[in-house]
Order: sequence, then structure tokens, then C-alpha cells
Amino acid sequence: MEPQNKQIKVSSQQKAEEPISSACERCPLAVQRFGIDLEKWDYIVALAGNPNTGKSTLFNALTGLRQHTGNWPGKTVARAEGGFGYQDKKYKIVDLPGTYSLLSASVDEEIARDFILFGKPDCTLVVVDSTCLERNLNLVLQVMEITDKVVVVANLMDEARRRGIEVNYRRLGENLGVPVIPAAAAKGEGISEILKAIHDMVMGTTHTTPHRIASEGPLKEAVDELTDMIEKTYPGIPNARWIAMRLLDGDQKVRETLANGDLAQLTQGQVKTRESVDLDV
Amino acid sequence: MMLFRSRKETRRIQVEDALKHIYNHQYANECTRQDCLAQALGLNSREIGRLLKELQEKELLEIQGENFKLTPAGEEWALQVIRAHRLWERFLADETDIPLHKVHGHAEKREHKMTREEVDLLDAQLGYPQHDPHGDPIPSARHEMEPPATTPLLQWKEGTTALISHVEDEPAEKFSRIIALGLLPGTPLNVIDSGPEGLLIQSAGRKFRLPTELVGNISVKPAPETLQEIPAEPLSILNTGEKGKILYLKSQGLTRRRFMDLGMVPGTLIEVLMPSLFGEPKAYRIRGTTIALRKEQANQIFIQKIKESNGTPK
Amino acid sequence: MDQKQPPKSKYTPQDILNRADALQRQMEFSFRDSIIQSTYAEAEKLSKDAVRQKGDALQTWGDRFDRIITNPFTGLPLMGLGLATVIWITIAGANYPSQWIFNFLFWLGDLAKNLFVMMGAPWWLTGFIWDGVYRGLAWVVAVMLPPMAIFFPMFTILEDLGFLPRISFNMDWLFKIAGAHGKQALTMTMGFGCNAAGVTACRIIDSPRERLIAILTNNFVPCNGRFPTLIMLATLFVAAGFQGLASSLIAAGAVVLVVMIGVMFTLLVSALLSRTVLKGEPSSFSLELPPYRKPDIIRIFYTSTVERTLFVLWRAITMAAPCGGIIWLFSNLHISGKSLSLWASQALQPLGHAIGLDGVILLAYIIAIPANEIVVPTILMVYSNADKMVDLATMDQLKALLIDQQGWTLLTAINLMLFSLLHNPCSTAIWTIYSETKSLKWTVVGTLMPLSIAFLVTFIVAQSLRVLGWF
Ligand SMILES: Nc1nc2c(ncn2[C@@H]2O[C@H](COP(=O)(O)OP(=O)(O)OP(=O)(O)O)[C@@H](O)[C@H]2O)c(=O)[nH]1
Ligand SMILES: [Mg+2]
Repeated sequence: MEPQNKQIKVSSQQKAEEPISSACERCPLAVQRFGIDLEKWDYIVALAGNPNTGKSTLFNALTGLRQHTGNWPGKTVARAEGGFGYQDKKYKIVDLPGTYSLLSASVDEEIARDFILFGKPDCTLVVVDSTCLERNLNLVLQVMEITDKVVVVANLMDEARRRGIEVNYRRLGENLGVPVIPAAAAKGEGISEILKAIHDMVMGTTHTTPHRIASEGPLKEAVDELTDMIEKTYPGIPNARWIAMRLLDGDQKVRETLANGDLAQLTQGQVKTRESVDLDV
Repeated sequence: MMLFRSRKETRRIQVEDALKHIYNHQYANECTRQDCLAQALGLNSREIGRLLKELQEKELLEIQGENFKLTPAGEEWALQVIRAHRLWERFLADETDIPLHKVHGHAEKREHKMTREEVDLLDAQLGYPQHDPHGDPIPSARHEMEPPATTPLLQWKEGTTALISHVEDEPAEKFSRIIALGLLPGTPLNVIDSGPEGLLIQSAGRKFRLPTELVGNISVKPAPETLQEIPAEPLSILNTGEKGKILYLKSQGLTRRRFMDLGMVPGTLIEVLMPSLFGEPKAYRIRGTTIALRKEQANQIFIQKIKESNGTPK
Repeated sequence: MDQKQPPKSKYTPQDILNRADALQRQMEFSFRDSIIQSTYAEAEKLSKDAVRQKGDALQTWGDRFDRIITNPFTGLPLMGLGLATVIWITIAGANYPSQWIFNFLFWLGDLAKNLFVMMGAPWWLTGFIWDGVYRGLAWVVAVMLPPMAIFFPMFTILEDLGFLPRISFNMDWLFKIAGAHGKQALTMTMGFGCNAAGVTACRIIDSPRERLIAILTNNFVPCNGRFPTLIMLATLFVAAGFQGLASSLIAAGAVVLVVMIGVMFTLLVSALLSRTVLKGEPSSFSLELPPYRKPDIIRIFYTSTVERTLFVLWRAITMAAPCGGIIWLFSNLHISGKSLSLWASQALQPLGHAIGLDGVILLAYIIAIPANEIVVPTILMVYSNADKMVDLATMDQLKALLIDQQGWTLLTAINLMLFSLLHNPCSTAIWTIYSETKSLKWTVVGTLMPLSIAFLVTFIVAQSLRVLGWF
């Protein structure tokens, strides 16, 4: 088997000058959450996106690790973790398998979805392919239903440029209501902007107003009614609307989470997530 | 494969099969006398007598003259079995590789093994489907079942487009022949002409004669308005370089979700880019990306062909 | 239950679930469909607002290349030629570096051994460390490193270019006939690097049945541990008597043939599985073909060479070195006057002979279960009996040992190649099969099925060639 690069390095561009402060109030809780040693991390960042958009490439650029990349959808099948430091803070970053959607609940999608939902990352980077934004935005909109701590990385902008595709990133950001950072991860372009965006997001200096999928009629009524019920029952729950939609869609995992009381813990954390694939024939 | 079944289990299967059959006979206005039921269940007179007596003792069944009738409790149980059966068929057809003509057999066994909770969970997981893969309605968790609003194909007027709503799954031989013609529930068709050897049908871009002995096994309902004007054709009829607009997806379950995730929702433009080395599969251009599909998948996507001369929408 | 719940300040989870069910039932449309549709409508709007296309969007050279690669007249020869070229460059390029490393490491080893002798270390310590552990390690490094350091960058270039999905696209038709998934071609190509990686890559196949087929047959493509063995045998036997360019071309041809046989077995066994124990209908197939992207060749050469070197060295230290020690012990522990390895190989001799090999080769395969790459070194060490180890730095000396002393024939070489191609996966791959399937049964099948096929095929080949009187 390929050697697993699980060791953690501080990214070369962003070596912290001063010793890293160990203040980390929320960390001990998180340790139990995933069985991953979190003692030394201040924040968790998740990398989501369509397959083959350069998530692992960006992961490598940020961490200095050598997670495998390749020009075909599905190269990453399990989540990988690494870390980096930026401005006195240490970050754990999680590379997730690429997914086209978070609705189908196939195994890879479940891994990605569970992490965004239950891993409660402080910042979720959604890496999109600037050359086919339409399909990629579908996923961005879905992620923004789950969390509002989203930074969109418009990757492969070199490819877009080469093919004469002009993207107005600022306008896209305004419309989406979250930061959009143009980048070319393979060439190292945009990395420092991404780091700053992550930093601003976890520090709470970025205010996002995620664009919601407009719905009307009976669909909206049903979602609204259920959202209200959930919010009343679980005050402070961050994504009641999304849970309502998943319940209406008959999502087995979310139903279970609700029925067995895990949802109540979502506000505190303590949900098992699935990391590998079971196969039964 | 289970070789040994506990006596209790065997009993449950017998009871449930009996309830199901009585329910079906009752609603089809067929004979529910003891001899008719014995024949339907394949039991001798002693066995059927014992079984019916047991059902009466459990207050699942009552007798009205010569005919048996389910009590409300019996009816509810029967509907629960039918619900499990049809949901399981739906699951097998949508989410597994089991061919359609085999799902009935699997469901016949499975229906007796599921608890109420498991059935409800399956229902939710499948997104509360209304119909099984043959087009029969699925009873709700509260055991309500709407009667199918369908017309026998034989009575369908020529001219307007119909959507297949139900295909009888028995006898299996006929069912297989109908599936082989591509006439699954959800498929649109037009009756062009009728004659003594059957109906002349146009469906999925093909014209063919449907033999009389099969016509009776198919029911239809009016197709949605969007399909009335434009002829829907499967994606597979497009040649390299041709374009179409997606009208609807015939597939259900996982395949449907995958298609939609890739951006194949109604209204989407799709273009045939190139066949592969051996001609199959083909690559299609969808929302700025290239996706390869086998012919079987392309047959599930119904499109409206866009004529080049009309100018492609930009 | 259908009624709206009276407004409360708190509900039970069951209330919420019931209400969700009730609301769902009332809807006349598919909730899921409408959600995805409105999401895409929104995405379309957002993207239209922000994106402007200047000039022609089409990727011209990539499109043109796609046309060529999928054309029946140009595609097949091109793909075959591509494979052959990669293998040929590997063989031709690895030849000299292998010898240099070999010479250097053995020179170093002899030096150290002499040092040990001079210092008066006991013979068994010197022998165990320098003739056992070190030689195993040196062999693996010399034989494995150069081919891998050449093969992998080339493979990565093709991967980064976007070539692998095209292979899948072109080969899907064959896999469809076999009742398998087209993405299996992709996992198969990943298997060239490492079968364990190939098995893990099978996760891209959604249908459990087809994924299992892909997992169980991944072993039939020769992984990086077996490649050098194949190359060595092809050079030594098939291309014997040829010099220079001709030799490497013929050796490459032989390896390509072996790879083709491997692909053939993949398809055959897949077809067999999907018609018997893993029966079922083909699942839905959709495969995205990403646009070609220009590989960053310098970065690839740097990263994949470094990575492969580390990988090979790591395996050499963790797998080959201990095995080297074991072999030395086997050759030097004597029971009633015969070494253990002699006992074992004599016991295995009848079976080995029946399949056109010999007892030593079978013994080597047993010792090499943890790591396929040490099969050849094991064979050579047992043959040369470790104490009178000949210097095998050149092909001629190798040939002298194998052909003249041990009586290898072309049949031995052919069957060793076949056996090496078809036999059981290495322990890492077996473990990966287990962790991916979570099933002891399928792990056993994935291990024993290839092994029995290997025995069967080599037996048939040996017996029929002998009946024909060729050997
Ligand atoms: N030209 C260019 N290529 C890039 C860029 N970022 C990534 N790539 C290439 O795109 C391909 C895909 O990158 P990955 O990082 O493996 O993509 P991923 O999102 O992790 O893919 P999955 O693991 O399959 O979901 C690789 O061949 C990269 O070298 C970029 O900014 N510009
Ligand atoms: Mg990746």
C-alpha cells in the first residue's frame, strides 16, 4: 500500500514566527468526536467540492503533504487530514472525497456530508472548477444550506483564462453571499488569499449571508413549518432548514439522528461519522 | 438460503398470503367462497378449513353467507403485507441490479419478514414512492391506498399521448415480452392504428406492433401536457453532433438521483460528443462537462430533439 | 396525524418525524426532484450572471485528440502503442542504472562483510547480516528502483493528462460484456502501481456487486512488485540472443503480451463471477471525462520519483530485509545434513515440476507472500545457497546460474511469468481486500481464486508443452 502521509507539517509559506499559543477551549471535546488527535489544533477546515476540482492539490499546497492527485474524478476516496499554521493559529484541514451533490447519500457523499454537518468545521472551503461553474454551484448551494461558514475557492482559473472564460469573481461572491477567492492551486496562485479568507472566517470577521435556494408554494410551506418545529425543539441549532429538507426527502441518516437523540447533541457534538465503506452483497 | 423455517414463521406466511389473496379477490369482486380461496392458495379442503377458522378466531375474517370478508383488522394487515411487498419491489427495481421480472419473486419472500418500522423506514428512504415498479399503488403507512386512475390500453384513443401507468406482472412470460419492448411504467406512447393483430404503437422513437395478447396487460393514463405536443424520444436516438433538450427521466431511485446530480434535470441541453472506440458507450456534453453513458442509461433519458436549422438556443 | 400539530414550544422527535411524513404524503410532486431542479435553476442563474465566454470555449487540441483516441482505426493501435512505449522506455531506461546500483551496493556489502570478518565477528552474524538481510535489501533496491523511478513519472503524466478515464471509456464495452463496470478499467490501471491502491480505488464503483468483481480481479494486472520480475525474465529468456535495441524491444513485447494476458484474465474472471456467484444486472454507468490538462512535468518527475524511491526503499527495509534474513537462515540451518531450504524445496519439487517450475521457485513464492518483489532474489539466494554466492552482477552470470546450473528452460520462464501474473496478491493487498470488503469469505476468495488459477494455467501449459515434446 502507498505510504500514508499522516504526519503534519507547517506550511512553508506560513511558518508561524512565534510559538503557537495553546489556548484552545473547544478542543478536548472534539477529540472524542473523531478519534483524531486534535489537541494541538485551534480550528478545523473542511475541503469539499465536485470531484476533480483540485481539492487535494489545494490540500497539498496548504499542508505541504503529498496527498495523491490525478486528473480523473474519484481519485480521493477516503478523507485525509493534515495541518497548517497561519498567524499564530494552527489549523487542521480535512480533504474530503469529491461529490456532485450531498443529497444522494451514496457512501462518498455520506463521508463528505457527515463531516460538514457533524464535524462542524470552523470553515468549509468549497473548491469549484471555474471552467464549469454551473454544475459546481449546485454543490455550493447545497453546502451553504448546511453551514454558513463557507469560502468558495474558484480553482483552475488558469484553465478558465486559457479557454477564454471570464469570471466576475467579485460579483459571484456578492450574489452567493460568501467570499469567493480565485485560485490556481497547482500553480500556487491565490493561496495566501485563501489563507486570509480562512483566517477571517474563523475569527468571525467575515459576515456571510448565504444565498438560499428560492422555493415557493407548498414546498416552501412544508419546509418552513418543519423548520419552525425543529428550531423550537432544538434552540440554537445551526441548520434547521436543511434538516427539515432532509426529513422531507426521507434521508435515513438524518431521521435516525433525530430519532436517537444525536441531533440534540449536534449543538454540542458527539456523533459517529463514517470513514470507510462497508460492502455487503 | 434458509433451509429451516420455524413453525411460527411458516404460519405467518400462510396467514399473510391468505389475507392478501382474500383482499385482492374482494376488491376485484371475485369469488371469496371457501373453494375459490382454496384454489387460489393451493390448499386442500382440510387445510383451507383450518386456516379460515383460525383467521376467524383471530377476528381477521368474517363470513357473510357463502363469502368470506376481511374485518377492518384483517384488511389493515393485508394492506401492510401489500405495502411491504410493493415497497420492496420498488427498492429492488430502483436501487439494485435485479432485473424487473425477478423483483416480484424476491418481494414475495421478503414481505413476510419485515417489521412495520422497517417498512416505514424503507418508505421514507425511497422518498415515499406512490407506485411500485409495475405501476400499482403503494398503500400508505396508515393503510390508505388510492385506486389507480388508469385506462386499459385497448380503450385509449388514437392521437393523444399516453403514459404507461401499469403493466401486469403475471404471467411472467408476457411481462418479460412487454419489458423487452421497452414498455415500462412511465414510458410515453401513441397509438397510431389498431387492427386484428394488435395495436400499432409509437414509443421512444420507434414504431412497432403490439400483439393483441399483450395489449390487455397494459394500462395507461394521459401524459402530462408537456409531452402532448412534443414527441419525447430517448437520448440514444441522437447521432454524434446532435442536440436535445431533456424532457424527463424515466429511471427512478439511485440512477435518477445520479443523473440529476450531474445536472440532467428537465430543460437541460444535451449534445452527443462522440462514441467510444467500440461505438458504446457515448460521451455527452452536459452543462459544460463531458459525461459518458451506456445505451441503457441513454434510453432512460427522454429528450426533445433540437433541429439544427431552428438555430440552437444560445 | 395528518392535522397540523397545534403550535407548541417543544416537540418530541417523533412528532417531527410524523409531521414530516404527513407533509411528504400530501405533496403531489417529488420533493427531491423539485429541490434539485430549483438548485440547478439557481446555479444556472448565478453562473450566467458571473461568467462571460470570450471566443470559442472548446478545447481544440483535447477534442481533436479525443476524436483520434476513440476512433476504431486509430484508437486501438494508439492505446496499444502507448502501453508498449511506456514499458519499453522502462525496460531500456532501467537496464544500466540497475546494474550500477547493483554493482555499487554489492561492492559496499562485500566491503562491510570483510570488515566484519577482519574484526572477528562470528560467521553466523556476518552471514545473517551481510549475506541475508543486506543482500535481500540490495537486490530489491537494485532491481526495483530504476524501473519504478522511470515507470511512475510516465504513468503520472498520463494520469494528470486525463488519459485514464479515456481508457475506461474505450474499454467499457468489453467490461459490459463481462457484466462488470466500465470504471473497472480505471481501477485496473491503478493496479499497475500497486494492487492495494487499485483495490482501494474500486470505491469509485457504486454498485457493490460490480465493485466486488473489480476488487477480486485487480490482482490480474501486474503491480510494481511484479513488473521488474517480468522484465528480468523477458530480458533473460525471451530476448536472449538479441543485443541492444532489439533486445529491449523484444522484452517489451513480451511484457506487453503478459499484460494483455492479465487484462484477458481480468475480463474472463469478471465474466465468470458475474455469471455465477455474483450474478446480477449491470448497474447504471456514468463516467465523467475531464478535460485534458497540461501535466506539470517537472513537478511530476520530482515528486513521483522521490515518492517512488522512498516507497521502494521503505518496502525494501520493512519487507525485503527481513525476508533476506529468513532465507539466509533457511539456507544455513541444517537438519540431518541438509539445509532447511533444501528440505523445503525438495518437498515442493514434485508440485513445482508439475507446473513447469521447481521446488525452489515455489518456496520463494511462499517466503515472498509479504512482498512480491523479493521472489527473484529469493530464488537466486537459494540456488546459490548463500555461502557460495556467485556474483550475479551481469546478465551473463545470471544466465549461467539459471540455465546452466539449474536447468531453466523457456518453459520455466514462461510459466514463471504466468505464475507471477496470476498468483495470489501480496499480504498488503490481501489486507486491503479485507478492509474494503469487511468479509473474510471474499478475502479468502480474492486470495485463493487467483492462486488456483495460477496453478491451473501453469499446469496446463507445462503438461501440454511436454506432451508436445517441446520440453
Ligand atoms: N491547470 C491547473 N490544474 C490543476 C489546478 N488544480 C488542480 N489541478 C489539476 O487537476 C487535477 C485534479 O486535482 P485533484 O487535486 O486530484 O482534484 P480533487 O478535487 O482532489 O479530485 P477528487 O479527489 O477526485 O475529488 C490534477 O491533475 C491537478 O494537477 C489548477 O489550479 N490549475
Ligand atoms: Mg482529491
